Amino acid sequence: MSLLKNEKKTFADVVKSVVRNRTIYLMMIPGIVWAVVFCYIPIYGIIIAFKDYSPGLGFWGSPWVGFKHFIDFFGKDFWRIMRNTLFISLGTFFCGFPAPIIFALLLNSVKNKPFRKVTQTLSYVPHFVSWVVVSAICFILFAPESGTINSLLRGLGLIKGSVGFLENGPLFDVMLILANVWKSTGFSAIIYFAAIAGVDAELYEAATIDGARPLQQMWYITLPCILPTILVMLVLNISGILNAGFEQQMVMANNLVWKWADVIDTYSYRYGLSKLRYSFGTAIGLFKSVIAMILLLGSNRVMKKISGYSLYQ
Amino acid sequence: MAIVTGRKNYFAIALKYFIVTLLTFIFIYPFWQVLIISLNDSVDLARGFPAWLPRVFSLANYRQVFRSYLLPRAVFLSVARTVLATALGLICNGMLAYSLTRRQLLAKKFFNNMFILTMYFGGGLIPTYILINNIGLTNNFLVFILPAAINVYYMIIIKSYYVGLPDSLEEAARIDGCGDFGIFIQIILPISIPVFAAIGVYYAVGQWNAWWDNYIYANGNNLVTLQLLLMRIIKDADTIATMAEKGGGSVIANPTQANPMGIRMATTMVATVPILVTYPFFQKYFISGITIGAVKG
Repeated sequence: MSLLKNEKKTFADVVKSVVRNRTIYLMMIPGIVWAVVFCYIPIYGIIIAFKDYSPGLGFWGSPWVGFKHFIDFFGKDFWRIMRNTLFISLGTFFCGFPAPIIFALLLNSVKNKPFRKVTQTLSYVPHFVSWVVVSAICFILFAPESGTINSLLRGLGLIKGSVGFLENGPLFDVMLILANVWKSTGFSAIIYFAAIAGVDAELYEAATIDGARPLQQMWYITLPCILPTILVMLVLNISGILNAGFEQQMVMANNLVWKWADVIDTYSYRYGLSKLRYSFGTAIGLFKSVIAMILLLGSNRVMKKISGYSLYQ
Repeated sequence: MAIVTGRKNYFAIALKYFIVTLLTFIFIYPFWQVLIISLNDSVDLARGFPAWLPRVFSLANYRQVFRSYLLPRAVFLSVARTVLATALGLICNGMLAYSLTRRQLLAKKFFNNMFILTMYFGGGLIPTYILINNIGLTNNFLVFILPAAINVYYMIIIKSYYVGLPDSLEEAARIDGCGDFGIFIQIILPISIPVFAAIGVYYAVGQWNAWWDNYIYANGNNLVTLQLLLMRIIKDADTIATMAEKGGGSVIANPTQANPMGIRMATTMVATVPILVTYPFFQKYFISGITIGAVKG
């Protein structure tokens, strides 16, 4: 029936097999059309990064300009954009990576099961709402004058007047980092809950008999047991270091803070698409893709070493 | 000894409960404040936002947003895109994953890599924009649906679920004369309900929350979904004015003195409540999707 691996396939065999199993090929058609149209044609469209694209002239008619757009980018805004990108993504990483681990460990040590369950469920909620909703929330929390945080700080006597959390560049970045952490902590903790649940209960029993206190159990049993999970998540996080957010900025930033809020993705959009400099924006996108791919391939290799399996395939 | 550790534990336990409760409060309180602001009289909001309960209770904000012609249409479009894209996505991903896991498929490696490559590398924002423009999807409802037909990450999760299914069922059906499509519909789909439920939830939440595709591809006034409407209300003074005054007259007394935050928060609630209400039911599927995905990665 089926073609064995070591059997030599003639053209006739191939045709016969395809005809006999035509249904499985037909069932792939929507997927293949999708991949070609929405992935491969745009990949081909990247050539405009090396051209001066104008819609009237089309892909082929537009003149080649080599690395002009890249040089343009490196000469002008590169450092500012990299500073913002790295500040936001590293800030999110240093707060957002340990937070779910600590949350999972803390919650796991709570013995009251209903309490734990309810807390866990509530902690995911921020993950499920859109960035538009998060920005609406930020506007009431961080608004100047009447905003909740400003009122709170005034009530506590910590400030006089008001702080423009979303109107001052560096402060805006900090708020962005906090919003990222708020949105992701509960949900990211799921993977650690699963890892903690997988720890052999006998280890704890043995430790209790030996007189280990809860904190010692956490340090000497739970943490080493979930270390592989932590490492995998660490590597994944590092590979995404250039993803400093996009929707967040697009919906929350304003003209007062764009100087600090612009990261590679938003810059590519704001200076490429919305100013109709298609080629310039594409060049920036390509620059990011190349670096992101190197990081991803590298981290995939590291992960294979530490955990024996890779994320993609 | 036991007594000493016992006393220590009481303090530690109390501290632990306090910290966990505080964290939960931080996760949840913002939603509560959105709710009470939306239920507060909007003229009264000028005195500052209520912190715990509405100062002057009023449903006028909600009456106002539902009265304006913008919101019902936006809700309809959001529901439509969520339902249609989820259905299409499940069918296309399910079929593709089925084909890619068949033994009979020739050039299996090639086809698999064809999809995996798209996870590593893509054209990026602007080439995609030019393409969408060229094939006439701009300002077209289909732009919400067609690009979502396949999600390679979800497809891989479905694939790894199929791989774990026993071969015997399929072989028995084949002996009974069932073709591949019959096997897919009658055998594979029914026993893959758990993974389809999980992926369906991912799709639905993603679609409901999507605004970016709406913002760049369909920015005209007749395809504004709820999320984009909310974004406009938050950022753009004209839209909020339209919501507050036009659209069948204002039910808010003194619309000029009204604080627009009331209407903003009422719209936010309309965008959030469907998630909050269905969320206790769907969260277990969400988690099962993560665990299925983590089995094989």
